[in-house]
Amino acid sequence: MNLVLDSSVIAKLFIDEKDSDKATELLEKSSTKDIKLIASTLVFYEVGNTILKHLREKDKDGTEYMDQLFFLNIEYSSLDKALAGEAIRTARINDITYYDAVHITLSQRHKSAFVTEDKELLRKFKNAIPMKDALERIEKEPKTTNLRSL
Amino acid sequence: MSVTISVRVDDEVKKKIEELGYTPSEYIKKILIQELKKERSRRAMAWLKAHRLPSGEKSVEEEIREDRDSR
Repeated sequence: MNLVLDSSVIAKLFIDEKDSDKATELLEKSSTKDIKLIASTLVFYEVGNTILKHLREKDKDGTEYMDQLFFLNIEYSSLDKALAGEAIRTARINDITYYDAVHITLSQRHKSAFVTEDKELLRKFKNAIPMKDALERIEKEPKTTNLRSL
Repeated sequence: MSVTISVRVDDEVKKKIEELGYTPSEYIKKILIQELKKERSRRAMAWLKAHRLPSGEKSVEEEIREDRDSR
């Protein structure tokens, strides 16, 4: 199973909010199952900007935070010509921003649910689901064979 | 640049890998890459849990929505 993640989900791993643990659980549980987590490379900009807003004096320059974003077990997908074209069409038809449309179009390309906490996207797109629902889907997936079972 | 890594395993393990339709080298390569990714991710998650940044007045989804709408 594939799950495409929105920046609103990934950013929760970095900022201490009430549902940050849910985002952590989502990543941790996915790694024990045959689940591929995918995100647009747009998250580097959007999450980076969010991190920037929350950095304190003692957090130095924030590079360590950006490093972790690259280390997460997420397949980052960059924009290509086909996706860019499809995204602008999706943005116009659905009256959403181009940024939103890139994430949505990526999830459609992968025939995947789009995990987001953004209310507007949850309301507008059938394949958009909140972290709570994504966790339920992950629970139902069988565990992957690990090395110890060989 | 690529390097060679050799591993010594029991006959039984080699047989089981082959039964799955893999050659041992391609299987080990696949597992190594997968596990390395997972381990790096596990460490990143642990680091993040210990170093989460304080939240603001708005939730991150509200902040990202504002950014998207204002660009």
